Amino acid sequence: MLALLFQFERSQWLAPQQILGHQFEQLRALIEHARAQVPYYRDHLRRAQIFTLGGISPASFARWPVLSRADVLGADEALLARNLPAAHGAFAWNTTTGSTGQPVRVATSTLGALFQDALVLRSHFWYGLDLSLKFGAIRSGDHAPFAADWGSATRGTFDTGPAAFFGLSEDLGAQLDWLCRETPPYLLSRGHTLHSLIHESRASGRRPGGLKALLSFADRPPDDLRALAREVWDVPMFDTYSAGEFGALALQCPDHEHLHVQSENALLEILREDGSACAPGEVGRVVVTDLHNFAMPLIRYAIGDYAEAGEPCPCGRGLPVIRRIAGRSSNMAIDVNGRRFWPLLSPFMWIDTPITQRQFVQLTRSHIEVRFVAPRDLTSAEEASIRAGLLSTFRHPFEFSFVRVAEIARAPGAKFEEFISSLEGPQ
Amino acid sequence: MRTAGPDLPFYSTVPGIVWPAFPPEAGQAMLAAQFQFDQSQWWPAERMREQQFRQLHLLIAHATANVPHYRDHLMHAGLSAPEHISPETFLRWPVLDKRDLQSDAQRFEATSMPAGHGDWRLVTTSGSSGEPLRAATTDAAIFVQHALVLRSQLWYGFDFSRKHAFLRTFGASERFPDWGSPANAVFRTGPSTLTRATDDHRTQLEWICREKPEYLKAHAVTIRAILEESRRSGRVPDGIRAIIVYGEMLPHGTRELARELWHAALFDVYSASEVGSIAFQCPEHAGLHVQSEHVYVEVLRDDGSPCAPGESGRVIVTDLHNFAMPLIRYDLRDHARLADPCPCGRGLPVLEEILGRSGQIAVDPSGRRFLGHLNLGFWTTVAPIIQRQVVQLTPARLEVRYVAQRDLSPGEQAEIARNIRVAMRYDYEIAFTRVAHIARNAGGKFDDFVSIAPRVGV
Repeated sequence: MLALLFQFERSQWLAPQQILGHQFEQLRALIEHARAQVPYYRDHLRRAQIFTLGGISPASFARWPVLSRADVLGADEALLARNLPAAHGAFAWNTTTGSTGQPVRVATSTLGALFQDALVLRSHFWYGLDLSLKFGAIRSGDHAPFAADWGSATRGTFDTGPAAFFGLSEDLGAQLDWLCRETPPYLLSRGHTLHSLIHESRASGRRPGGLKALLSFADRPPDDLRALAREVWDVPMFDTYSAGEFGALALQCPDHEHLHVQSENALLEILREDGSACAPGEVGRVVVTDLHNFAMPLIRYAIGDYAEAGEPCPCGRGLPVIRRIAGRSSNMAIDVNGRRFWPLLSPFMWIDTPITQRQFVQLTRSHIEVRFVAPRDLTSAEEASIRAGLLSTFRHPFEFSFVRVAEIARAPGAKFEEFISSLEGPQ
Repeated sequence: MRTAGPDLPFYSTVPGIVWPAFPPEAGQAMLAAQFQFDQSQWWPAERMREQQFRQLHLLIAHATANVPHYRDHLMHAGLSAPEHISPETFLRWPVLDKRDLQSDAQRFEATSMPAGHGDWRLVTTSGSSGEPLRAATTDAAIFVQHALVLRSQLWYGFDFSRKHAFLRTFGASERFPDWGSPANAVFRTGPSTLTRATDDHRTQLEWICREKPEYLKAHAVTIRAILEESRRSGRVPDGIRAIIVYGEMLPHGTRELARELWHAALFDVYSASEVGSIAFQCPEHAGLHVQSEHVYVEVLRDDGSPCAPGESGRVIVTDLHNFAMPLIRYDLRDHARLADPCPCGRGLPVLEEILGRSGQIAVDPSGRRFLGHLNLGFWTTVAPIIQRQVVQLTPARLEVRYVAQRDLSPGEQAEIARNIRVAMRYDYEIAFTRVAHIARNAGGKFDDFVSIAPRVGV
């Protein structure tokens, strides 16, 4: 583990071209294995006539067919390697729901999982976490309420403090009770859960003690979460963009708010509609290759997210920058003219309203429903003020209807989505 | 903004994995150590001391329980438990003189070892002060030594794919496909080449010019003599990037000479055969950083109190990892000046100058000049010598001064004389004189070799 960390400490400072060079060395080894051991690639790609082994380069790789979630579901066991190379360990299984709620079973190897753990450990070092302290997590899945250590990323390498866990689907008030009782200095959860907790804490006046940092993972955190964490709990927030299929894909820069792609484990591309690479400032779909998963190689897998490419980071790290995760294709809005876009929902719009949580659901090309959780209905003046803000955000005269709900439901394990489209396509 | 270091050629043994690499197990352990070193070097001095004392408490608990010499040391220091040892109370722990070690080495060997330290290794060393020494160590302690050698190469930004040359004290000239341990456990290195440090300096310079290494490691005095030979002859080797020197006090002006003549950076490493690496020159500055992850170093005034920055004093060292033969508060008989914290930001203490080390250049009647290094460890297998020094009186005459309980027999003298002649590669006339003691040099250190012969051929 530390041997990898030592390399990560060095590789992060390499020039982007050097990093890309190393990624392609590793990619060639992965492709060679995939062609020999994985039926899907052997058959599918033979037909696609794109095997140019040894010669695979960023240019030729751009022609490699993108693997969709439907392909993965349809391929069934054809994506599994018949044999793993020596020292890659055994198959390890993970089920991920992603944004669609449609579960996908993904295999990796012991070695692939080790790389994922190493990136978790890197994040601890990047954010200067004191491993001897207590770690708290509100997350999905079955888990014991306590653990003696922080888990597989640190086990065997560090003597960590203990960990405490609580369920993601538990009542918000119960989550805050738990947090105030356990007082972990570090709290990990999905961004929207952290956001709701802070609101609840502010509303109830109950503040957890001893908190040092918030760690958000998986989905895009609400835009105002960082400011809210500072304002209400006086703690920094560090964001990890991750996916069940891959583990951590990008970590927030220790010195800036944007994300650094974890190029040592993933070749992450941000692509325009025509398949060419996005320039900084452009939003495109995220296509990922896991460089070390030899159990179920995912090569150019379109994960379903969209992201904005960033300029190189002033910190000096050569790891590519993601300025922000724009959302998923299912989070895209469309207007009557066919313009498709990710709504940039300003958090300031909700200030001075009783709304604690909200979700937009596009019902037709002209109608968007605003579902919100609040202790009372909105006044007509509040509705008018929010509507004005929304019109300027959406740059289209949508019809907005307001519906107060008891809670905003989501499938177990599914990510919270601030904007969802119930229309067919555009994805 | 930080800039990138060299793109290191890590060595991977797992099929299908080339980047980031999976080196063999020994290499993984080596990199794990480097990761820890990379973190700990930036710790504040206080945190480093805290960790050193955690380790020291374990060492002392082991030593007082398992090493006869230390059995009553806690009591002597007025302490009831190892955990009571702090930088202040540790000053009461008796300083270990080399003579104590030498008179009964077995009393320093552990009668029992904790698990996991690996095999027990016995080595015979010349010692850093001219007295031969039988020393025991473990695989774990050797691992730390190797890890520090690798740290020095990483600190100085070595490109491991290039050729490295070593001038070593004994053995023949050889070529190898890699740099050997520890670098070859981690990196796909370039080749290495070795030759004898005792060769004529002109021959050594020729060898360097012929081999064209980019990195060179040798004794400080040897490098100085080769540089002087290079200046005299005008022969300049091609493409040397960096030189690591060790073993003796760095003669003044050597660093400048390397830069001017060879355009090479020179890095100074302070080590002693009993404990290995003690301090490395800072990669960015001239001071030497104590390798606190391995040794606890005290610089003491004559009254035993710790020196303040700017003062010089005796170097007392504790090897934190050798559980086979613990050296606790061991007097190296070197003198060093303690410096202020380094502007580089590393928390490792800084020694400004090592005052006590010195080496001497030997000559023979043909004018050949070379490092007067002798295979002193061998002598102890021949005769009951406690301490010795070889003095060059004229280009053809040497005197062996020795301290022993009795005179050496003619047979013992003949055997040692033969050994000297082989090591120094000249048929010297050699006299033996038994003396009551051997004087220290100006730096308070015992020299193995001293020349009072008129200089020839320079």
